[in-house]
Amino acid sequence: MTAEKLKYRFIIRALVGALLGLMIWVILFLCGSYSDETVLDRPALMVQLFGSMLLGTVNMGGAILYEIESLGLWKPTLIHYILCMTSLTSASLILKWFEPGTLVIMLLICTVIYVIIWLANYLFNKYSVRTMNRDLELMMKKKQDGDRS
Amino acid sequence: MKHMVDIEVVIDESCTDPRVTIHTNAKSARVENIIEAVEKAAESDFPMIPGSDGDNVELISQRDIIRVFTEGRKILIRTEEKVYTVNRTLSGIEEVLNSDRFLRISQSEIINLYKVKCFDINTVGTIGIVFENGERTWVARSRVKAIKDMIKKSM
Repeated sequence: MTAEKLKYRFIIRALVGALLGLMIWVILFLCGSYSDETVLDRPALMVQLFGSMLLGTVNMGGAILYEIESLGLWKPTLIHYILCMTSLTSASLILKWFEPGTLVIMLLICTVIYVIIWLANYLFNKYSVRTMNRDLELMMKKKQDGDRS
Repeated sequence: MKHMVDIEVVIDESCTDPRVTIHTNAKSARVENIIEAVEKAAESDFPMIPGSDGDNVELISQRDIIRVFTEGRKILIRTEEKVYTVNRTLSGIEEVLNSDRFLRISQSEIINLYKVKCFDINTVGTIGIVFENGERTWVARSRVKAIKDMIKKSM
């Protein structure tokens, strides 16, 4: 993929991520994430909104790394993981989203999700390799039979 | 008419490439002409590719090519014996290669599927290719499906 295409796809992903961040924040706000006693002035609201949108941008935009062929699979996974954990921790601490204990649990859950996704991808590729080798053997056998006849 | 050539076509699905067998009582200039004509016809579809091994420029038969890849700014062709430098772009070479044999596996590499010994996977889940000559390379995730489809088509 050319640099131009990658840039374009990154922008689209980042915008979608920002929108998702906005939507999630609105849903959580409407579901009562903030207690009845909480009074949020406009600047504070805007900061919360911005933080949520930025988190979405980083998570979705960062996934563009998977489209850079030369990086393979594990490098984008590691970089994306670090980006997401860092951004979630920073946003959470600055915007006071979670208690420290809850934040640790959130980070653990995210880590487990990453591991599951990586494992699923690995197992799928392993299965693919097995079927490809089987089919390759059949293909070569057919070629040899054709050459011999 | 005297000296007619009998041509017999046998349809055999197990043949991956057409095979020409010439029955004759003696090798003659006529037989040589027929061989030359058949070779020319075969090469017109899948031409030989000129490549330099450093000292000389040679014509590389597509059958001998294991893979075509980029290294820095150069385009290289790997055969069993040598590595050649080619004066074309990767896309330019791809256009003339036999699409039943050759497949792009990444931005920077085209392989000859008939020179693949097996596929494997490393500990981090990347699919690799091992060639008959022992060389290895990696497949871009986006091209795995294309490889599967091509193998199935060739079966």
